[in-house]
Amino acid sequence: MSDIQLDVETSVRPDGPASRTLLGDAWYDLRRSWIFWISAALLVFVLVMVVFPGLLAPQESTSSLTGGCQLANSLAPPSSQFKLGADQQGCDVYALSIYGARPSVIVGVLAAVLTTIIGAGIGLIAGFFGGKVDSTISRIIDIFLGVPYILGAIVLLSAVDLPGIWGVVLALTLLSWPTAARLVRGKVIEAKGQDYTLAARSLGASNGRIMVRHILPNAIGPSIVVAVISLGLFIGAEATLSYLGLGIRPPDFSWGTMIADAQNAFFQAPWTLLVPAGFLTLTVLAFILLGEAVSEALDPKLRK
Amino acid sequence: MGRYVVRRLLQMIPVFFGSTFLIYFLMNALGDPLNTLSPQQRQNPAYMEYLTQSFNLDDPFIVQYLKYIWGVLHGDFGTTFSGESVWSIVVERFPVTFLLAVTAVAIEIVLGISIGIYAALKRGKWFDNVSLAVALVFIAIPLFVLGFTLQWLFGIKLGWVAPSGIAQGWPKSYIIPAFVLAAGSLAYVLRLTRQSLLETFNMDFMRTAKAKGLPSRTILRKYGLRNSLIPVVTFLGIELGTLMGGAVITEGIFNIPGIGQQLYTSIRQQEAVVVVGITTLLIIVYMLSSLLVDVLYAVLDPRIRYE
Amino acid sequence: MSLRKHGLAAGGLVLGAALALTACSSGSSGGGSSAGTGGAGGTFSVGLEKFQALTPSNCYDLYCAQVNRALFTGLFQFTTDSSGALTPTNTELTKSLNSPDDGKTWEIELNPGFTFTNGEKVTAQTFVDTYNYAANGDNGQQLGFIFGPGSLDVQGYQDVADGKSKAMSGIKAKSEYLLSITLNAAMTESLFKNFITGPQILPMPSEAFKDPAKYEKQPIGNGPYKLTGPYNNQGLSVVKNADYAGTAGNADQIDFKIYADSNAYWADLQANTLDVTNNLPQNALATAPQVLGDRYLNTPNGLQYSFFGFPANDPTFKEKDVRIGIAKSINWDEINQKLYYGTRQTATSFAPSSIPGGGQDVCGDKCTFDAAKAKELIQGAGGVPGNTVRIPQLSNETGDVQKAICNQIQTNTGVTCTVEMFKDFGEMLDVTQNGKAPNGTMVGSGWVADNPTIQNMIYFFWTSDSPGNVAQYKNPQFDKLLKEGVQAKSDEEQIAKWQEAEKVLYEDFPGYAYQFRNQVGGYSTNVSNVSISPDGLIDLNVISVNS
Repeated sequence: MSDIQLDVETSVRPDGPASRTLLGDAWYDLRRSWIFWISAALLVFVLVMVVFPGLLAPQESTSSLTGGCQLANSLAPPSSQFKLGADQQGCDVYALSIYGARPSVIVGVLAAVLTTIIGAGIGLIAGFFGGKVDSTISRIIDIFLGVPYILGAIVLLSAVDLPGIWGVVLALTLLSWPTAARLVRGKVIEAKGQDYTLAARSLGASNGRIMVRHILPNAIGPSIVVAVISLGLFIGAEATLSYLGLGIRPPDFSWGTMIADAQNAFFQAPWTLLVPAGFLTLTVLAFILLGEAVSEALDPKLRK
Repeated sequence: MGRYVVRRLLQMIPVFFGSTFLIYFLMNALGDPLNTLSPQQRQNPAYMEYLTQSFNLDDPFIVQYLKYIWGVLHGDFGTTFSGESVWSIVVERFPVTFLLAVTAVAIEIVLGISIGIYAALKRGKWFDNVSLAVALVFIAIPLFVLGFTLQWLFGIKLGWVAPSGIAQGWPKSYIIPAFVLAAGSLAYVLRLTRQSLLETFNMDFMRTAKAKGLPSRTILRKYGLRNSLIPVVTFLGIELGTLMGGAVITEGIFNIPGIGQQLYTSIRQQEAVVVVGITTLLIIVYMLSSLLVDVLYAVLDPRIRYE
Repeated sequence: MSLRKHGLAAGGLVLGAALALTACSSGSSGGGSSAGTGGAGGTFSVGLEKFQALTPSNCYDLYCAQVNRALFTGLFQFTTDSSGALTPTNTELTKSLNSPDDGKTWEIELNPGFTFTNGEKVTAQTFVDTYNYAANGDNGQQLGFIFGPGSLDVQGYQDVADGKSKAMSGIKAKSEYLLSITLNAAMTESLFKNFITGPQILPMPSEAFKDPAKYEKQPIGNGPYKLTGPYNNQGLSVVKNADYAGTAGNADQIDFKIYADSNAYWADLQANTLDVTNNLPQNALATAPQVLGDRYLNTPNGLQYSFFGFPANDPTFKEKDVRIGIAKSINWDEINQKLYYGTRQTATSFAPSSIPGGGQDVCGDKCTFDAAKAKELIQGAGGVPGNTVRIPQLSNETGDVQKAICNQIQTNTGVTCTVEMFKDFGEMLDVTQNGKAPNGTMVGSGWVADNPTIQNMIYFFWTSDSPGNVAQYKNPQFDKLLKEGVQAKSDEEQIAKWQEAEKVLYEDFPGYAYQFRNQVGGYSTNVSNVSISPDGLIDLNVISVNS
């Protein structure tokens, strides 16, 4: 039976481009893609900001308890003291941007991971079992997709009092899993009719085994690509929630809260908006580009 | 096919009850609507008592919900706290949001598909790369930043359109907000068009057509587009419902008196019946458009059958 | 889009109450641009946020009040006297006001000749019917309370409010043009006028009571302008009322545009597609003076303040020196300058100088910023228990000011400061009164005056039995002084009692007002002679459209 399993994992052999495997080809394509290298470089930089922000800026200047954020410095232009200027509260925009990366990126990563896991699970069940199960789940998905995003976010974040980033992660996950579920469901239905599934079934494999060993690996590829892209979008969504006053609360801050705060003095002090928005845009862009590059490389149909 | 459509329509009945219940419950979880009264308004116990009585605020949640549903089944959709009927709000505001969303979808179609096709034809050339980069920047910029920037540029700096309101009518008052609303999905349509066109190019029938020596423009028109636009069309079908529910911020920035604005205000004031009414309507629109898409899908692709 | 408000606003449904008909402030000071200061005629537009209701007895926000200025003429209006204080004076509709029995019964004689635009005469009976409709609890009218205890306290109010009776026994038409109002207790003339001019209930024709829903969409008034049709979500238009018996307005037509938030006003004002607004968003404040030049309006001493309170049931704030230390550690002048660009003033009492007897430095040294002294006071009192204070923020606020406050407290005292979110004022009341807030949580809110009296500024948050006593302050002496002021026989005695009450409050220091809000707005190049009164309203009658 093992030689019938043609899924991705088992078909990869480590002996270089001579053996034309899917992942081998993909890696070969990726290496030649400038998009991949740009996004990878950006992401390394983002990673440093998230893990070792202290390397880039002193934490003291982000809090008034340690001498930062003096209102007297409100909207100070870029100078030797404030590399990228100060915001309306007199905080160093550069330091805030460096330390604001962590909550922003963690929100994105957590929301993307949770969305993908929940979405894939529910989508798999709906697509695999079909019939009543499928139509019930599909209508529930319809309800969730039909509820306006903002409504869901306001209600959730007002009704549930979670500290720090957790409320935002919960809201984004609860509102986004239906999209992921829908996608996986479609792919599962497609995979269910494929020869390898039929073959496994005719060989007496159980439902569980077929789902996990044959269908999931084929359906999960596109959702991982989507997850990488939506990771970027979630970082942006956190900014939108902050803009509506629903995001991360002080004393915590993120790129989103910085952008939301920057509205007040944008015309006077453009750096208050441009700096965090620039960090955010580049990071989101890096994730989306990575997703694009990987999806193109993984898709044999698109190969030249 | 007919039976399938009827079944899907019947399924909307439980969805209606499920969603009204869910939203009513969530609104209830926000707390006592009387809490939202300002200190000034709290000087008037008679008024607070009036609100409690008129909106059944003293009843347990389930009783409130059943009274609401009873009203709805008799054609009474309730009123705001200041007495405006939900029905008249919807009649007045729904068409505005609908027009905005339709305009946004039109922009996605015109710009997204044409740029997508051109990018596919010029795959790997500078146009392809630049259009990708620009599209992705639009996805990455937060909506409100884009909105304020375009409002400032076209409304104030250049003065081509009024910065806000719908007094100038369609298309002048709608085009900029619709573009802002469409911006995120525009990039998606563009990529989807490009990608599925590229996939189609690699299909056997396209190779055959090429081998027969047909000019590439003819191949694209006769075979490529029709086959590759299916995913794009299905995406755009659902998009209408999504955009109508997502117009809250855009309507706020450009002061467009649509349902998004009303929804936001009513959530803040915890006017449950207004929120439930509007949201349920949005869910119905969403379900109808997703049904339409499924039907369209079967029409466009004969391989798909609904039992 | 600032869907949220800035600063500790009144919160909740409305930004605040508004005084009815206001003030042509003495010596109108608009524009002064000599070029094209046109005379009568023309059309201009006014930006508003969505009001709750236009029906006068249900109009309790700044925006409907602004519209109703054009549609109605009431009994009294506030004008600014030579000292800058707002005082109620007769309108053209009111001939005289006097009390035959030293303040318990008030007789208002009306000038004949005023009619509603449907032809109905405005008589004493008009006011009897309007007032009874407003007071009736079954009608759910927001302004009914002005006849109740705490305000006018008219005879027979309670029965009408409870729906047991249709008419207040204290309000009668003695003849066609003589209206008589009998109160449960005597009060001074200025207090009576303040109460009845406050959130004023303007006259309504009998049609209004027959079909309130229809009337709400297109109110029929007795003012200088009349509606051209029912209003909708985009706004409404009014044109000159040819039959108006009083002084006509300058412009032929006024278009009121409704905005969901003030950012869109600002965009339209800059593009000259909106002519007049009495509100500017936070992000306009920095640049508005440059962009608008002398078309920028900034009237100080607005009838609005923000305050902090230290809940009496929280051991964190037991020591008075801790409370004073916190107050002294915040540099309000700096915050008002850096965050609000001079559109707010540091408060030293609960009443700004636009209120008779207001504008005093009651707080004195306690409200003076002094970082070293603040730290010293707090340490002298054994520090802040838990070393943490929490500044309240309502969910419709942006939180800029809370951040600035916290930064000041942390920088100047080393005490950790965080923000405590409340959905609305109601939740804050519930949470803090029941001791459910974490220790160290301060309370706060804003107040928009109903009328320009010291009493109105302080009674709701600080009297022992008030439903709004969010800091649970209880001092019988304070209650007594406030009450004695209401019952005083002369204006001097009244103001003295209230000032004394305010002193008691600041001596106990259960909280303090930190900020008065200026009234800020602007106008386009199409109009001139625009000014904002301290109550936030613009006199539309005197605005002229440039030719």
